[in-house]
Amino acid sequence: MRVSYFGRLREQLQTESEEFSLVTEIRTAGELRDWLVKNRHNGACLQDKSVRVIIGDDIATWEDKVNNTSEVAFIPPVSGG
Amino acid sequence: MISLRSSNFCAAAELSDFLRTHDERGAAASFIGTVRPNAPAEKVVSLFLEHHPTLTERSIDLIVRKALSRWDLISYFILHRVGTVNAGEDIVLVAATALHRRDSFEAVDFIMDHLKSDALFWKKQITSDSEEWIEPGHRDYHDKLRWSSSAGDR
Repeated sequence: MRVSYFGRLREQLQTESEEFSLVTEIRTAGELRDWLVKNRHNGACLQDKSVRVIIGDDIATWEDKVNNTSEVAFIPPVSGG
Repeated sequence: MISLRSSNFCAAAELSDFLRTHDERGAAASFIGTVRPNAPAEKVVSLFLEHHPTLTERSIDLIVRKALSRWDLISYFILHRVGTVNAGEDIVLVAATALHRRDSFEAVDFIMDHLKSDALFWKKQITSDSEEWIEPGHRDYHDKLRWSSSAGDR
C-alpha cells in the first residue's frame, strides 16, 4: 500500500509518502493509523483529532476498509489564513 | 472554470479575459486575495500552498456546486495559486456573473468563505525568521457559519 502525508504531518513524520505491505491485522483506516502511531517516529501526530484520512480519491472514515492496494493519505486541517 | 496555477498571475488581465468571454450578463462580481506582507508581528516573505493532486480541485468544485444551487449564476471563475506565493502577489481570484447583482455578490462571498475553510490546501507562512503552518481559525469558521444561519439562507 502507499501512504502519503500532507501539510505539517509531512514534516512531523519526516516523509512525504511510503510504500509497504500491510500487516494482516490491519483492516481499517483507523487500525492503520494506530499501527503507524506505534511504528513511526513522531507517529503520535496522527492521533490528533483534527487529522482526517483519504482513501483513493475520497475523504474516508476511520472505519473504512484498507488493503494492500489502497492509496491512503493523512491530512491535517485545510486552508485558513 | 477552476484553475490552479503555480506561477504569478495578473488578476486584472485574468478578470478581463473572463468577462470578455462571458458577456451575456447583467452583473459581475469579483474578489482578489493578496498575500499580506505583514503578519501580526512579523514580516511575511511568502506563503507555501501545498495541494492534493486530485482532491483540491474537487473540493473547490464542491463549493462551486453549492453556490450554483443557491444563486442563479451564469458563469464563474476561480483561479488559485499553489506552491510558493510571495508577499504582495495575488493568491486567489474569484469571479461570478449573473443576471442580477445580488446573485453575483453573494456567490463570490460564499465561495471565498468556503475556500478559506473547506478547500484542500495546506498553507505555510514563511517570515524572515520562522515558518509556521496555518490552520483555519475561529474567524474562518465564523465566516462560513454565516451561510448556514437563517439570515444567510435564501
